[in-house]
Amino acid sequence: MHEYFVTRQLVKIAEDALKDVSFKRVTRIKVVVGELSGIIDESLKFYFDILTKGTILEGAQLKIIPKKALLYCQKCSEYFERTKDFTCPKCLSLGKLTEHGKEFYIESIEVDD
Amino acid sequence: MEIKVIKNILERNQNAAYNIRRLADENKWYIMNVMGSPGAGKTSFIKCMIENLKDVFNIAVIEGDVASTIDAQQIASYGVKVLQINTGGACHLVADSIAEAIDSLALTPQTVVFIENIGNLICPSSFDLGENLRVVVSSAAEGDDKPYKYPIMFEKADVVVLSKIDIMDAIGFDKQRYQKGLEAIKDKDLKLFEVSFRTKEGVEGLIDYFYTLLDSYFKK
Ligand SMILES: [Zn+2]
Repeated sequence: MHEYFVTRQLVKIAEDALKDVSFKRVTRIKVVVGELSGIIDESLKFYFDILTKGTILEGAQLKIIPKKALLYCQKCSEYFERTKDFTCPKCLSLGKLTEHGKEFYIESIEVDD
Repeated sequence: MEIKVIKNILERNQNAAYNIRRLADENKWYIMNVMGSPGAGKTSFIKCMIENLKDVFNIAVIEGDVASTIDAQQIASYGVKVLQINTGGACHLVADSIAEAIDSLALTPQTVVFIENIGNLICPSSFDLGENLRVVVSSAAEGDDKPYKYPIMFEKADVVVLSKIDIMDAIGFDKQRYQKGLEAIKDKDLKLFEVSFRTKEGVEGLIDYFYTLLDSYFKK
């Protein structure tokens, strides 16, 4: 599945980021996942545990920081959470999709030194 | 100690897509990434394009959907190059496999390449394949709420082909609701075609659009 491929990328990026760092062990990796990114948290965690076996990341906790999808209402100049049909809860006009909710990136890595 | 990373996890795929785009630009290939649910009509769309444009343009097909009913032999008999990618049960295509496919197809310059992506409305939208155009085929049979449920797929589309319109009335498809969803996602910069590949309704307009698009691309 999808998450297998992306988890492999995630592990590679984390390993690269740790190349020139001295540490005892990796404790936590924080990954930001938007609601619309198409990534399913559970399978990300599942593959993370499998794919980190035998690497410097083994035993680290994968901390997923979820982000809600936000739409933007041009009339009210406000962001609002996605409703069933994208209408602004205040003025009922049609909201626009924004970048909020599409996130998928590694934020940080925590290590014991 | 916390090490800040802030790195897009799909970066590698984006780099591979960038390379394909550069190569396509040099060779004047026009690559179309055709996406949609299983059974939405991706294959019918590609077949329709081949049948109507093969006498005017060089065409190649990269087949990523194992469920596709494209008959490779029949298509090859039209003089169209076709390659089936073994995706190993994946839910989307990645730019690396498209790069390999393009390489083994030995494309001549000035070729139109159709990529039939895997039938799925979520995963393929996150993976840039270095295409010039994204086509989403969405059938009336899937319901009028598709843009609300899978906004990213539609947001990244340049052209939406709403297929099976001949059954719209029978299933109570609310076209206004569907169009409103697209509007919220894409403003006015999305081309929507309503067609039935079975009754041929609306198909002529679709062919005209692609003919004009490709003709002006290759003349540039
Ligand atoms: Zn409003």
